[in-house]
Amino acid sequence: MSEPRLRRDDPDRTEPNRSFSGTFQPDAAGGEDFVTRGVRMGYRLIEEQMRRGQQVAQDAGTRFGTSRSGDLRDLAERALRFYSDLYTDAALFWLDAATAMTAPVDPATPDKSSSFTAPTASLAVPMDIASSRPTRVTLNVQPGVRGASLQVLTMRATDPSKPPLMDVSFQPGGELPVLRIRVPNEQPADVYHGVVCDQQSGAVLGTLSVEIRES
Amino acid sequence: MSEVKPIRVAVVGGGCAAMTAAFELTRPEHLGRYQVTVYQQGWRLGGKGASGRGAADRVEEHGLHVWMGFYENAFRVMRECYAELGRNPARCRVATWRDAFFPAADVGVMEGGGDGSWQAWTASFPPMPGLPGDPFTEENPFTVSGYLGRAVQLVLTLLESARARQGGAATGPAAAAPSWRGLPSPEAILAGLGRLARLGGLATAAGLAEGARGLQALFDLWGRVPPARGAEGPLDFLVEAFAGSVRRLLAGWAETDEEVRRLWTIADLLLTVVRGSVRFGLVTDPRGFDAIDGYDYREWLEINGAARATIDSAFVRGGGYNLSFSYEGGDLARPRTSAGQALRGALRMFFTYRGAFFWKMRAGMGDIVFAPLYEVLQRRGVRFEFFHRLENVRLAEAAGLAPGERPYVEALEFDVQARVRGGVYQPLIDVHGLPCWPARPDYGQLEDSERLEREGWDFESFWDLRKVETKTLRVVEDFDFVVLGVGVGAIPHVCREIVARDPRWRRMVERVQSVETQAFQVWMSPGVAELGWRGPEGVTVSGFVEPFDTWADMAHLLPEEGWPAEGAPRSLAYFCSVLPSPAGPAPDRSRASYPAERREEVRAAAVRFLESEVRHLWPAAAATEGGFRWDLLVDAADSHQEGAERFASQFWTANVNPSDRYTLSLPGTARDRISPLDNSYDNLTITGDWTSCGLIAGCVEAAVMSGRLAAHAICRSPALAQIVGFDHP
Repeated sequence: MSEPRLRRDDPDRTEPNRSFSGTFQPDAAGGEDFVTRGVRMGYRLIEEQMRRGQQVAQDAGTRFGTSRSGDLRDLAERALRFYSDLYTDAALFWLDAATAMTAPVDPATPDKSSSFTAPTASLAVPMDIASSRPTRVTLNVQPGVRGASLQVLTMRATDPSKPPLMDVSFQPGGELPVLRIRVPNEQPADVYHGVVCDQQSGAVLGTLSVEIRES
Repeated sequence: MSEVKPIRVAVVGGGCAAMTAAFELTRPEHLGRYQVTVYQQGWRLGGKGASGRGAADRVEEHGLHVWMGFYENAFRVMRECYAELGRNPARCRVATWRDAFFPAADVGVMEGGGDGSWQAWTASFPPMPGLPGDPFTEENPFTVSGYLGRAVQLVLTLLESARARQGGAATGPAAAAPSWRGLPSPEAILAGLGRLARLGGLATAAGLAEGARGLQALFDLWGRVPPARGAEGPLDFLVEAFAGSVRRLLAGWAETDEEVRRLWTIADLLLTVVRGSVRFGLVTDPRGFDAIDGYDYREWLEINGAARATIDSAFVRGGGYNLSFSYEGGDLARPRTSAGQALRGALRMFFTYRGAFFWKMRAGMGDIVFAPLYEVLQRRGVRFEFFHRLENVRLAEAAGLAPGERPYVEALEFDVQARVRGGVYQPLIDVHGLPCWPARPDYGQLEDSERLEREGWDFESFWDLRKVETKTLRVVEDFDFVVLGVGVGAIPHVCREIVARDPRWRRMVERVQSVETQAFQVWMSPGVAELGWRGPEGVTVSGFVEPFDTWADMAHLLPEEGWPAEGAPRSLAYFCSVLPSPAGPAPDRSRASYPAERREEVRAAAVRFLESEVRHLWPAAAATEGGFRWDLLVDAADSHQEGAERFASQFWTANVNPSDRYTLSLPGTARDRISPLDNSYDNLTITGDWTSCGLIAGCVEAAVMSGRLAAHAICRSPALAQIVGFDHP
């Protein structure tokens, strides 16, 4: 039997973010030479990938059969917390993968926990999303925002003629606030972008994108 | 324990984008996960950045290459490359990246007078903090509001300069009535500016300075706290009032002072950018500068109120069009470039450079960039297959795809141009201790070398179809992934099947156009000052007369060459421009004489240019009876040719091969580009400055960004956030 050919994974996105704040991330402070830092972090990445991969395999073997999606989500969240210190995109990949392993939900039925497809976040905040259509949520916030009082400014569509997505907010939760999104049935399909701020200081902490597709 | 099989990546092409992809995929941290083989036509890497050492070890280049101080990704790669290379400074004079690149602050444009005269404007850009490639540790430097704040600051500086020339006193702190920085909100600043404008406060130089500070404070605030969409609206009137006052003040002074007129041109350009950005809502538009991609740059300046003299100025023509060969179809009567990209590029160029505005290379680009990359990649285990000309990217039959399976590359078909004795070609030569690329292949390493040399096989010509055999690489058997790093001009030829099947690719190759370019280099016995040039040495000047609108003084290369002490040249000049295209479709591959025909056209144009135009740059190069002093040219072969015939001893090139063509950024075409991240063909990624890579420009930085994206497409590294300027308005 011949070997299967390899395929590239779908990227999280293919185009640059040209919105107001973009996703600019300063390099690590401390003045460490970026060559040294790149190599050091790269080795950490590989080692951690191997370790996490082994752990996922063990957990999947013992838990996946019992559909304990909470454990997988917890694992993903812990992985995310690590990866958000390294590479944002590695973090996105991990949550995508973890979400795919959780129980699917009928997209036609608004659900309190996961009625969205492929949510991605650099901070593993709980999400409360109601949408009757395929909806993709991407939250990019800087590391270290835990504990901040988050606020989302108006979510504007890529097409300026479309109405903004209004009902998006961070609600008080446990350790972390809950991102609450309500997508009206009449909301036009598009990608909506908004800026995440600290309610107290007004400082910009990141961006939120909500992609609503046609049914 | 089973061994993990490496993922085999075939990289086709050896330019900046392809080499960057190879560099990223083979980083030590990947632990050999990706096994890369580079397939390169002919004997050298470099693509449009290739260079070679010719007679007297002189540097012969594809064209003029200077690196901008904002090339963050390109400098990061080169800094890492040199660090890994670890050359011994005692043995190699180009051991570190700082040896390889040096600051070049002087730039200029040539302005033609109505009487046929030309005058040079030159400026020396001050060094800015940091070095290109340094980590960013501060706030986002890439916001529209941040750029506008700096533009206003520059207008203020120009105003002060003009005022000083008119004998006026500095505006000083006395004018600083409101304390803008202390105001808590954009609304408060807008209200303050409104009062200033209504009460006539902008009518004086001091009031204008105050207005500028207010605008800066507002843009600064918006740079930190994003305004709501459309927040720029109320600013429209204020910017208009501000610009009107600057215009009235400077235009009056400009009537009697040539220098102020130049300052006014730049101020008018900056004010137009501010005014247009406000009017078009660019501060808050999620599309960033792509929102005005459909406009031509000069058209956009015009509809936003730029003076006709500004639009026609050398500053716009030289910086906006000449340096980027932006002539549709190579037609000098059709200057066209995307307003969005022109603004993005200009703002990054002027406001985000670090260290120096320009950086020049100590030797040829091949020696400084591609030889170190080759050496590092070879050490990492990358294999190089030279003399491999890609002829076809073959797709798997659509009918054979499994349900849900995406189309993919089934095979790569090459013509092998020459067999290498011993199997591995050693491409570099030693020039006084520096590894360099030769201008000709080393025939001694090739089988049947005498015949190849005698018959004059042109390994870099698209029209020379000679080969010694064909080779087909097959997916799974020979490769897993393909990085296609050829120029966009070659895509219709090597990706015929994809272009025929895929409307997106067809649209891309139709709309993302490229042009042929031309360049020549002359080595002369006098230095540029002796030739009569009155500006700074080492300058790069654009906006000059066609067909060679750009000149760079490259005398710094002379010590790197191998001239005898007696009779050595003291100046080296590079000229380049777009090469006007012949009417009708591009010639097919049966017309083998096409490159030679075009090369002859370049030679003839260069001779005419030297005889009739170059005296505006170098008065002392003109013969007393008119024409050019051909005896000034230094002939490496000492062939004793005289008159215009002596030009044959110099170097010139017609860059007409499809992959050598320069990529344009025509209005309305940004959306037609395809990203290296695109996964429509799930074992193929494209790379090059013609892809959708964030910076829609034909330049080294765009190519390197694209190369990094191609690597990300395969291995998710580097992170997109680390590709500086990818996420940029």
